[in-house]
Amino acid sequence: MTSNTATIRSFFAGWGSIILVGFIHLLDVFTRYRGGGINFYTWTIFFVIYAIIALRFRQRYRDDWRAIIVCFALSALVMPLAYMWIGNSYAFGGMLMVFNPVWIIYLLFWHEQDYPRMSFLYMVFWIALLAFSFMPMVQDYAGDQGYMIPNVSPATAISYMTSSVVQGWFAFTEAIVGIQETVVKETTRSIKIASGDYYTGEVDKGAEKMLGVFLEPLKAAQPKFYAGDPVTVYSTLRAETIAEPLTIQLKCVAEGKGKAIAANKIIPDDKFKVETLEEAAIDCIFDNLNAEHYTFKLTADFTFSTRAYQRAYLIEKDLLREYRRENIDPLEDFPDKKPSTVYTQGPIMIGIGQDVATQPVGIYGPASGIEQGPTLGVTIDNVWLGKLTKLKNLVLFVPKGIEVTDINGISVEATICEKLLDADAAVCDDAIVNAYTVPESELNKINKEKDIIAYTFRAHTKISDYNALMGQDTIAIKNFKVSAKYEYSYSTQRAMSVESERE
Amino acid sequence: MKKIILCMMLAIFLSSCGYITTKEQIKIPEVHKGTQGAVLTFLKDMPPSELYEDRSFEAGIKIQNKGATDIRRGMLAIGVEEQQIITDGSADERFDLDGKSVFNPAGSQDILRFKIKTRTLGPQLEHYPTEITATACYQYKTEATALMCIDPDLTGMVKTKPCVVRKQTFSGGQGAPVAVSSVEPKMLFHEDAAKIQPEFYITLQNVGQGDAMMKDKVYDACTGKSLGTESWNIVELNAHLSETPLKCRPEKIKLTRETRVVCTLEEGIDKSQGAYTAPLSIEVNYGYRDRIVKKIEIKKITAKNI
Repeated sequence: MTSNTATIRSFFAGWGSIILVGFIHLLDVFTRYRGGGINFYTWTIFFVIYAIIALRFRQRYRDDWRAIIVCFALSALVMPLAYMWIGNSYAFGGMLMVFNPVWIIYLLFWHEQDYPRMSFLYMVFWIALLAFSFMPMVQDYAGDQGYMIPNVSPATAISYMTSSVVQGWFAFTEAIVGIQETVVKETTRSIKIASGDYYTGEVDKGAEKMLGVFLEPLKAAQPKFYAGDPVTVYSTLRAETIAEPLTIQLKCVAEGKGKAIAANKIIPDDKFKVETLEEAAIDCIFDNLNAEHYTFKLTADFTFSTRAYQRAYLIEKDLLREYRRENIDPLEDFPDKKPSTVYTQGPIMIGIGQDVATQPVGIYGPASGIEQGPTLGVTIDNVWLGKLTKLKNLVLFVPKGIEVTDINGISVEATICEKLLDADAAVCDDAIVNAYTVPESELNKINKEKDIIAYTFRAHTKISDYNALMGQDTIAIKNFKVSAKYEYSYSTQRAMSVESERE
Repeated sequence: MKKIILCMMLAIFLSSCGYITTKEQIKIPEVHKGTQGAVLTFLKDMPPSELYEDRSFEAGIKIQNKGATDIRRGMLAIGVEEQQIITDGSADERFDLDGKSVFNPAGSQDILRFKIKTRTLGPQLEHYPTEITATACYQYKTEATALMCIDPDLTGMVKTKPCVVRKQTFSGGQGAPVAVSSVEPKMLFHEDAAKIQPEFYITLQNVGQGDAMMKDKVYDACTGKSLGTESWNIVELNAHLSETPLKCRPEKIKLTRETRVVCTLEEGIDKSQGAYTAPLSIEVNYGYRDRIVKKIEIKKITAKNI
C-alpha cells in the first residue's frame, strides 16, 4: 500500500505534473476561451486550480514566488488581454495556443533538467505547430468556424488539429476494419487459388459502357454539423445496364455509439429503377442528430446480373493427338488461339476454367466408346468493395451435344429455355444449347455467408451427340456461358462529428 | 498421264531451243510446280469485320485451284459459332475446279456464297468476338516424274557409264499440297544372281497449309464426322519405273513431317544390261482439307450505333 502511494507520488512529481497541467490547460481553453460562454464561476474555478498548481510548484521546486506569479498571470489574465490586443489575425490567434500552456512551458524550460527529452520534443512540437498554424487550411478552417475578427479564438489551431485527429482516427479505424476484411478476403482467395479451386476471367475490355451501380464518395453539405440543425450528406449515384432493368434500393444511416439512425429523407427517392443509364445526386437528410461522432453511410442494394463466356475450339482427341505427335499447331489458322473467359462489367468476376480453358479442347469421338466430356470449373468472385450478399440464380449454358451430369456432385437435368429468367430465356435456344441451373441446395449453402468470396463450382459433362457438337468442321467453335443473378450491396461512408448546438 | 507426257515433250522442245539449259534436271512441267491445291479467300467485306446482332449477312468465298489436279465434287463448308451465328440455308456447297494446265496456267476458280445471320447478344453484352471458317475438302493427287539412272554394275567394273545413280531432290512441289521431296535410288543384289534389284526411297511431305486424309473420307472431314486416327494423314502411293509397277512399303502410308516410302522393282533387272535412264513416275492420292478463318465482331444495336 505504502509502495503504491509512493509510486503515485513520484509519478505526480514528474510526468504527472505535466499531464495534469496540460489537461487543466485544455479544459481552460475549451471552456473559457473558445467561443464565449465565460462566466464568473468558470473564471473562479480556474483561478483556484491555477493557484493550487502554483503552490504545488513552489513546494516542489522551491521557486521564487515571482516566477510562479508570472506564469499564473500569463495564463489566466494577460493572454486573454493579449488576444484582444493582437487578435486581428485568426491565424495568429491559433498560433497563440502554442504559448498558452504556460505551465508546461514553465516546467519544461525553467526546470529543463527534470525533463530534458520532453523539453526537446516540446520545442519540435512548438515549431511544427507554429508552422501548422500559418497553413492556409488552418486559416480556412478558422474562418469556417466563425473565428473571424474580432472573435479570434486561440483554440482554433488545436481545435482543427483535434478535429483532424479524431476524423483521422475514425478513418484509420475504418481503414483497419477495411484492411482486416481485405486480408480475410485475400486469404480466402489465395487459399482457393493455391488449391487450384479458382478460375479467372477478364473483364470485357472492349465494352464501352460502365455497367453496374456506382456511388461517389459521400460528401458533407456543411463543413461542420451542429446538433439541432438538419444534417445533409450527399453522393452521386450512377447506374447502367444493358437489356435488363435494375432496381436500386437506397439506405442512408448515421452510425453513432452502438446505434444506427436512418435518414429522415432521401432525395430524390430511396428507390431507383434503371432501364439503361441513370445518374442522380442523392441527398440524405437527418433532421435531429445529437452531438456525437457519426459514420454516415449511404448503401445501394441492388440485384444485378453478370454474364461470362469462354470460347472453345473443340477437336476430336484422336486428331488432336495426331497434331501433337507431328508437333503441328491445330489452331494455326485461328487468330485467337487462347481465348480467355470474358465477363461483363459489374461487381463480380466470373471465371470459367478447367478443361475448357486450354485450347483446343479434345473431345472423345464416338469410335472411342468414351462418353466423358470436358469438366468445367466456374468461379464467382466479388471484385468490388461492396458485399455480394446472395447468389439468386446461376445458369450454365453448354453447347448442344454436351450434357452436364452433375454440379458439385449433385445430379442435374437440363432446363428448357422458357423456364429460365426473362433475360436469359430471350437469348436461349434449346436447339443449340443445354442450360443447367445450379441447384438451389448448393446456392443456399453459399448464401449463408454474409459476403460471398471466391465461390467455385465444378460441372462434369458427357458427350451426348458428337455430330451435333462438332457440326461441319473438324474444329468446332463453341462457347460455354455462365449467367449469374445476385444481390449486391455497395456503400460509401464518411466519418463526421455533430457538434453541440451553435451559440 | 497424257498431260505429263505432253508437258514433258514441250519441255524437251524448249530445251532443244536453248530455253532450258540445265542438264539432268527432272523435267517437271511448270503446271506441276507449286505447293498449293485449292486456295480459299474471303471476298472483301463478305462478311464484314463488324456485324450487328440479329442481322443477315453474306459470306463470299473465292476458291481457286492452284494445283495441277482437277477437283471433282469438292466440298466447301462454312463454320460458325452456332451459339452466336446461324447459317441461313445450307452450310456446305459442292464445287468442281480444273487444275492448272498449259491452257489454263492459273487454274479455275469459283465463288461460293453463304447466308449467315447473327443472333441477338445476351443481356449485358455489348459485343462478341467470334470467327467464321471456310473449309474445303477435296480429293487430290500429286504426280511426280524423275529420270532415274539404273545401273546394274554393282561392283563398279564398268568405267564409262551414261549416267550416275544418285539421290534427286525436288524443291517447289509438284503442283499439289503433298510433295515428293526426294528420291534416292539404290541398286541392290537380287535373289537371282543374274539380276539386280532397284529400290527407291521416296520422301513425301505435306507442304500445304491443310491436312491430308484418306481420299474417301473427304466428305466426312467437311461434315464434322469423326475420322479417327486411322484416316488422318493417310495417303496412297503408286510408283512405276517406265511402265512397270513398283512394290511400295508401307502399304498404308501415314504422312509425318518427312515420310519415307520404299518402292522396289521386285522382278529386278538383268545385270547384262548396261546403265540407262528410265522415268520413275510417282502418283500420290489423298484427300485434303484447307481452311481459312476470319475474325469478326458482333455488336449490340444501341441507340448510339443505329
